[in-house]
Amino acid sequence: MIRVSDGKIGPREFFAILYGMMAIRVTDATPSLMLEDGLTAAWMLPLISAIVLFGSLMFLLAILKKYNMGLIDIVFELAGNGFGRLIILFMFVTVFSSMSLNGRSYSDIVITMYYPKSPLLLIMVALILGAALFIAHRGLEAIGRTALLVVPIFMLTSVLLIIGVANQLDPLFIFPIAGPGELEVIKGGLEFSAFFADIIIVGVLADRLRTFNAYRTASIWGLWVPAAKMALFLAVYVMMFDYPAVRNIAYPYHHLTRMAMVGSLANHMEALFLALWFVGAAIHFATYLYISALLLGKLINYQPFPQLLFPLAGLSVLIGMLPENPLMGDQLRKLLLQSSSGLFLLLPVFLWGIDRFRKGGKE
Amino acid sequence: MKKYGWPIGMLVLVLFLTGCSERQELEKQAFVAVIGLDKGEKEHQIEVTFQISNPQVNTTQSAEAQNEEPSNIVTITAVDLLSAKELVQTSLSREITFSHLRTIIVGEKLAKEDLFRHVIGSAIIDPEMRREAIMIVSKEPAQDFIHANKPTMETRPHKYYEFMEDNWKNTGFVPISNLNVFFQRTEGELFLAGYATAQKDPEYEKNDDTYLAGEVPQSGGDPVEMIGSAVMQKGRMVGTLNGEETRLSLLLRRKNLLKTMITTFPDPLNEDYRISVVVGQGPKTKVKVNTDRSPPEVDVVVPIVLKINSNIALEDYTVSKQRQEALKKMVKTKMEQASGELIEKIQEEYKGEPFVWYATARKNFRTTGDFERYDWGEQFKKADVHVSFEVTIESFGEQLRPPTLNKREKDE
Repeated sequence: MIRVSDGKIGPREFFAILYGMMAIRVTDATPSLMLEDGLTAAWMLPLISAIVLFGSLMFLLAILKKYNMGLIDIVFELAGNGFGRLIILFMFVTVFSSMSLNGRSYSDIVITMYYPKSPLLLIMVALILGAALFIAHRGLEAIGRTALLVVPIFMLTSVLLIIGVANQLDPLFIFPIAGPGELEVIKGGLEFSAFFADIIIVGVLADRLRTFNAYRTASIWGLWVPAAKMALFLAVYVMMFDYPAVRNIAYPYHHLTRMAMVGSLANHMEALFLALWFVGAAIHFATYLYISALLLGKLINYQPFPQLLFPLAGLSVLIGMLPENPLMGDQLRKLLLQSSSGLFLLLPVFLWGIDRFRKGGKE
Repeated sequence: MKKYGWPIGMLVLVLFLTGCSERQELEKQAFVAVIGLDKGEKEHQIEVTFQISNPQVNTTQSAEAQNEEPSNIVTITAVDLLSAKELVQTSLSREITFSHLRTIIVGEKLAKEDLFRHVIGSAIIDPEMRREAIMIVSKEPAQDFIHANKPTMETRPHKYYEFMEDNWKNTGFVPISNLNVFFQRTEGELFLAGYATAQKDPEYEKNDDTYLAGEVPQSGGDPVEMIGSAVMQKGRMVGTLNGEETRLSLLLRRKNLLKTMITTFPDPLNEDYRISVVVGQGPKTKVKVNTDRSPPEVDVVVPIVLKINSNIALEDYTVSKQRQEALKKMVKTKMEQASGELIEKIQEEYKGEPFVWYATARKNFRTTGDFERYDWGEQFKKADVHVSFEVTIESFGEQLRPPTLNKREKDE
């Protein structure tokens, strides 16, 4: 059955986009931040974050169902033009700066682990101005389909990777079970919930899905699967490198791909993983770029927002070049995440509250 | 066509990206197979020996390189590995790369110094350094060891080490311990690195596997011997374990790394002879650690499976259950005795243990802080350790009973 393209996406594409946005975080500097706080119990952090966000997501779904619009329109509708614009501005700043800093972080991974002699600018341009812009420019449908094409491969290679290192893992290394203590773990989970806050941000795409049910199914799966993957990989990192050594490792995923072996012959598997990872990164940034442009377009009332993609991509490369070294970028990123956690957690609740307060009596 | 013009153009442009940087011709690279680390003459200096394999030898291209050595050995004195890597380029025409580095050999003298911790700790920061590289401590300076190591069968050095590692899995004489494991155990746990030497000083009195590198009674063969292990603690060598002790410490782990090993016991039926048995891995070794009481208690149950593939006394074990029981009992007591001695030695001489029991002990603690305060290494010194072996005999080789040679002797 060939369906005429209507610019909308189905649940599978949407799930693939969410997976591309969130699951790829296991490969960047995120696990290091989590391991620093969670120690041996780091694997609980993403699950706690996901539980917290799940609550928030339920509120979001309730509003989306009621209004049957994208999140941006709902914000304008409920919070009014002035205040709504402020919220959208804040969302844009968070999404856009997170993309810029992430772009820098990913380029640093490439330079540190694989291509030590390449200039940083080249990698950033190739990744964001090249690959991500290319995909994003083709529209949401293209992003969704590309994601759908590669996400099953990512899932398969993740499993392969774990099998490849399985005999080097020691399950007992995840003890002591509570890591730094239960309170710390719960606090950490709350702090890092912004890592999965994409699930709230993608509310802006809600009107681009064919049905509301599709959105609901895909977003629930899209929250839990990446969170579970993150938990699994954090546990694997600890089992592989052991606490406290795991805290010193900059990019555990890429060390893991180096250590993976298939038989005794193929022990330089990282090239395969690098290629796939780079494709994943391109989709990740394409989605972010697209959402940034969408938000900015609404913010300045500029309808043909795809024209904003190119300037935004260029700007994000420039911003990404600003931090002197990856550690500085990571510090900024952590700060950004912790400050925006609250916003994304409370936004749906806030909107729901206004809805109740203002219009609750009418319906 | 117009519609697809620019995407196709972009894709073609992508191909040109490969020429931008990082272009590495295979021909222009020098693959380091082995690195040797030694103490330099001056303070805070190390001598780094690179064994660079010559990829042309033993390949179809060997006709072009008939008079070339299989490897090139260079020693550089520098402050650390990274600067040595750069300095080696002063005499080497090809660009040096660590991507096929598998083995790091450390001279015993350097390993015992505090400097080693700094050298290896800074080496791992280099992204080119791979964490799966195997670490071996050599009795003599590493450069002498590398120069002496000219195996007859393996002209290409990386193959030699690869095959040796495969051997260790079966014999257990040497622990297979890569840098990743080394960095796992930096908090006072004992790490076992392979121990090797090219200086032979055979001893003929010992039993079977109680040798340390250099003592194995052999003549001829390859110049290098690898048996036993160097005990490292907090990145510093603090002692050695001989072949038997190394095997036992691998066997006593929860995750038994030893597939099979051949070892001898006194024959319970004939005091004059010893009996060689193949000891295989049984079901999982059970380790229980009780940290609630003081001193802590460690309970280890090691199931092992025997194959009687040799029987120098030619005593018949197949016929009677009693004889088999006697053999089992002998193996059990001897193994328990040996491990008891090993544990006693470790409790006396070191702080910590090489059996990875600390991982089991960690289970009993709620937070990492609790575990650190408990100080497992110190507590283990006075721990009550009970090791018991569960022996089963799996097979008696391909003879139903030993050849009846000895009976005839008695008849005559």
